[in-house]
Amino acid sequence: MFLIAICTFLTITMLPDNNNPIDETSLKVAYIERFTRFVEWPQDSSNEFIIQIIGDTELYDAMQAKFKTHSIKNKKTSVINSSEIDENNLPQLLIIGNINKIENYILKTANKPILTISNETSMCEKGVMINLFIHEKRLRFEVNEQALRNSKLYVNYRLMQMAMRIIYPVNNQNATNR
Amino acid sequence: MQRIGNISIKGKIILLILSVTYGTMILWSVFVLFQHSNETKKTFNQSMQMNAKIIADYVVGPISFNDTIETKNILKRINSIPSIIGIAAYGTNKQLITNYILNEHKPNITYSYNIEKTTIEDQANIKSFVGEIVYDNIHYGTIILHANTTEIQDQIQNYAKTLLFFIFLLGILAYLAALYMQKIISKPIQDLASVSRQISENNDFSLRVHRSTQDEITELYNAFNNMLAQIESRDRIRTEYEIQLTKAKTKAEEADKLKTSFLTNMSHELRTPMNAILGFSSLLLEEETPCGQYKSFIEIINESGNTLLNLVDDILDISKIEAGQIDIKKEDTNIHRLLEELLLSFNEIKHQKKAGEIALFLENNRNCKNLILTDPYRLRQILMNLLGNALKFTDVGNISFGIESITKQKVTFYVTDTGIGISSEQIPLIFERFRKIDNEKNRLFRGAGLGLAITKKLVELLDGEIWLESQLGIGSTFRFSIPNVISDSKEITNNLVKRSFADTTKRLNILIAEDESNNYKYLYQLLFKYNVNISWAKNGQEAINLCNIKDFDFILMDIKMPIVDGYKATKIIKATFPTIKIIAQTAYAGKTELEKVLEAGCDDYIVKPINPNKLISKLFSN
Repeated sequence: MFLIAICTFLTITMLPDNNNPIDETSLKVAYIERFTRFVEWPQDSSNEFIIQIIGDTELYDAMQAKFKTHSIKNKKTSVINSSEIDENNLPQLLIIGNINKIENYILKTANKPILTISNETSMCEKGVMINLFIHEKRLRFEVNEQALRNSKLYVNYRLMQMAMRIIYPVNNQNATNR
Repeated sequence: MQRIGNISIKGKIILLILSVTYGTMILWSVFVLFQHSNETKKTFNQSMQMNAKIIADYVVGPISFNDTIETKNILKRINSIPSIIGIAAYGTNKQLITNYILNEHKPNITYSYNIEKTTIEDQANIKSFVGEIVYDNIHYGTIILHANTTEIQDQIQNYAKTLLFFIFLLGILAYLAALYMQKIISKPIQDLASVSRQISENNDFSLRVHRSTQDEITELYNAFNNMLAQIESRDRIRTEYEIQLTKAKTKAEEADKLKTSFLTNMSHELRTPMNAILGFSSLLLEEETPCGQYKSFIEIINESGNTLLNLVDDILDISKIEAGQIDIKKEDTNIHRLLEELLLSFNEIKHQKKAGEIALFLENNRNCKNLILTDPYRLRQILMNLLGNALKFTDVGNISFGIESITKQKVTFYVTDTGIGISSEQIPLIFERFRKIDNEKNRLFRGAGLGLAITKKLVELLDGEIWLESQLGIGSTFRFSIPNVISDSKEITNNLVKRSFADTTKRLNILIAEDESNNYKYLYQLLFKYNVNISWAKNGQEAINLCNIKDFDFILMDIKMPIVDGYKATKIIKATFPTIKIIAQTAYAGKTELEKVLEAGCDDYIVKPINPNKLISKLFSN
């Protein structure tokens, strides 16, 4: 009981500064922001960290609000909502809300330093790197380690540690459940 | 300090080794324990601090994703880490995220929602460590870790106990080592003390201490042995001196006793004949004395005078012997003739002594060799002493003498008698000076006790030896041997040259050179009854003067005279009148002196007191 109370308290502390009621979208924004902390992108000359959201406007709005003043990796953050991926201006973070053309998006971002995140079931098996989902009323995530490795992104063990499942582990082990 | 000084060397060495060992070990142990304690605490602190950091690092992920359950799962891992009893994770706002406390320590720790309100019981044994939850320069919160220090305190105590046991064990080993090591130092000293004690108790300085090694104790041993050797040598020399001194003292006491006895005896021996001489002389002067007794009185006086003369001769002889003034002059000597002369002389003496019950024999084998090289004067003296001795101590029986054997090396003479004999105890003493076989309380025989001492010395001067065989009451046999040195010539004339003097039918002119009137009167009385003219010179110069104005056939020349002595007067007279026969008359009885008068030119000599027969013989013999 005590622990539940603590967890509740902690969840509250994770809410945005404007004290909005806790909702799934806000939690996802917080999780995505934590993901960026434990992922390292290859060095580039760009001064902008581009977050592209495909198909999930609600999440886009929340992201806009979160990253309007919040920088990532000391770079100015730019949140865009577009269904097309600009080859000349690739985003560092791609949130795929529309799963209809997910294979195309996976193909376009394959082996590129773009962290792909989705929030639908079994997306990791299709090639998405991190997939958020609700499990036992808790927001959890799974990781496609092979996809991360192919993208040349460095993922801190702490992120792997917190994943509920790891899909296609690099060491050819079975996916682990936490 | 006095009490330590009274401890034995063994105890001191053991005490020293144990003191140093224990002192060093205790200091070392305190230092090591202190170091170990600090090191253990430091290691413990570092370990706990590291644990806090590791746990803080582990909880970065869960706390990032606000995963309290996972955070707690990580905190629970302290179960496997010793000493950690509770841990709590606080957020950046110092609010408690989650915590975990080991069941048994739940009463001791209470983690409040605020980090600053955490309460801990038994602060002394529980220590707090802080680990900041940081990743990529982002601070996520703080880990508070509490560890129980009891375990490391127990470790330190156990270590201290181990050290104490180690010290105890080393102490026993050090004691055993000290027991062994002390022998190396104390044993030689104990041995030295033991030997010193033995030397002190037994006074035996021949003992020595021995040691095979080469160290300072060996040097001490050597010095001790050298000291013992010096003491032993000194004692030996001292003992020898003591023996010599004791002998000398005994001898001196004996000599003193003998001399006292001698003086007493000598006084008696001198006074006894003197008593007869003076006593009978006084009787002769008395008018009442019948004329018929005169002759017997005079014979007694004459005998007593001869006794005195012998005594004086003995004293003079022993004095010369002891002063080393006896000269030995060896010449060819006819020993048969010498023995025959002695037989004649002693038959005369025996007759004078009226010793008719004694038979005197000479066993003389004339077939054996008769000439040897020796001193005839001293040989005669030796035989005369022995014969005189035999005659003195023999009342009845016989006395025989002669040559017992002649070998290539020596001639052995003997004199044997049937006298009173000598006990075996007195035989070794008989040749000592002043020894007489009688004593003061039981005097039987006259004499100074010098005759045999003189005889022995004379034999030794002739390179011979004398010995005695005797039985008390049966008789004695004296034997002496002298070297048999072969003479080159076969026959010689007698050592005293017989001279042919004036015809007795012719009236002789005789000059008596004598400063003493009594001596002149004696000679005058002795000679006037013969066919002689007698003149008297009172000194050498008068004798010379008289010779110049008168012819003399004989001069009886005294040697010691005033103005011109006999030697000088003889030389002068002989230089002018070599035909005058000069007979020296002297009281110097020594052989050297007699030779001296012959060298001065005298034709013969006669020793005072002058024996009338001898003098007449010299004047009127052929």
